[in-house]
Amino acid sequence: MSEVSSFAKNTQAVIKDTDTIMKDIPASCQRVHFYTQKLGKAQCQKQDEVYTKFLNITRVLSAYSAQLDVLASDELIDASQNFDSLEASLNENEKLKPEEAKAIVSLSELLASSLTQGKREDQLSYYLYEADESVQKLLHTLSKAIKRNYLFELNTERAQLKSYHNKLALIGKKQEFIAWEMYRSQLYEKENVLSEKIELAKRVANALDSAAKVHKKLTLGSDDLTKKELKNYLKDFSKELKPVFKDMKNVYKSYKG
Amino acid sequence: MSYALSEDENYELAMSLQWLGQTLGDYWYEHEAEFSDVQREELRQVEMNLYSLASELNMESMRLSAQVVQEDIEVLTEVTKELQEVEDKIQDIGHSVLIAAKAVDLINAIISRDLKDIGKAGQELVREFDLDVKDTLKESFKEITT
Repeated sequence: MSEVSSFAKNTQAVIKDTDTIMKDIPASCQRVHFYTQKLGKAQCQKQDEVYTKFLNITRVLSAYSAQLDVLASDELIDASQNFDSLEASLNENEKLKPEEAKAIVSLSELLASSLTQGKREDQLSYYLYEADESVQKLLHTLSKAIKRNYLFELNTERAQLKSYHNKLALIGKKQEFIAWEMYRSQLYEKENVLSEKIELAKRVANALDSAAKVHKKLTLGSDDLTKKELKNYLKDFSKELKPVFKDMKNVYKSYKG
Repeated sequence: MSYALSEDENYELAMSLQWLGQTLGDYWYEHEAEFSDVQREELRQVEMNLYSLASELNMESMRLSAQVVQEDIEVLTEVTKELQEVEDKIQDIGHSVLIAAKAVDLINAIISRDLKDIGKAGQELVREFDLDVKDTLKESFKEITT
């Protein structure tokens, strides 16, 4: 249960980062519009459409992980207040001794707990297995889209930035363009942010691959070897994610285009 | 005759156009003395158009990859809905314990033959049943307790 919960929490986090990355696709289109120096507002319908389609994928994965987390949580079956109420009612019956009332409540608690615990485990195993093929495909689609298409967009943006940089450099050389020095440092800063985003995106895509691996492991048997492997996978998954959270915050929040 | 490009074909074509744009960009910059300002700007615009087309094809490749998994989105939505139902059923077990407590209250009141207590315990039991018991069953409890 705790493994499912850990997987669900980490997956929700990596999906949130994936969302941030997907949002950067239409944003990149807006940014490069500046380097083309065309008049009017940027037309980024295709980028918007793609972002919406991928938002559907991240939403469904996020909802699935959140629901897994609820079912795996022990708080779900905390009916202790209700059992207190049952004990109080039994104690009012004069024919029952307090210890007898307590015994009835303890037995009921044991029955309810084994019933719910067993039900949760059975149902979780069943649905993890049922969902696995789709989860694998969706996580793989996200990972591939980042490694391939998002990095392509950033590399295109970088090429456009370089072209704009070269154009200004030539003007600066010929006409002693005073503001050039100031522009140059701004352009280098943008270039650095793009490089950081490229590195981070690769790490998020790897974390999505790890999520797929852990999910597959969760559907397999519960023998000692599988459990041990699962624990190692989860450890690697968490280790991979921790620095990503921090860097995502810094890189994507500080940069406004 | 039109031919729709696949996800991979779109991506490969996009890569070729991006490479062409970069090569052209390097060329006009490295040979800047051979061109007038206007010519250089024209070449730069061609370079930008190549990037724009490359991006368009890359987006098409991405759109096609999302289309392929449409069925998986539906499967996972359905599984999530069923998991929610499992959660509701498990929570119902906790609720059943509360119903049992109210039933015991009613039995205690009946044993003590206190009409006021019978009424009160009965109403509380009916209130708990409000959440998940059929109307007919609720009605029969109302009849007993009023």
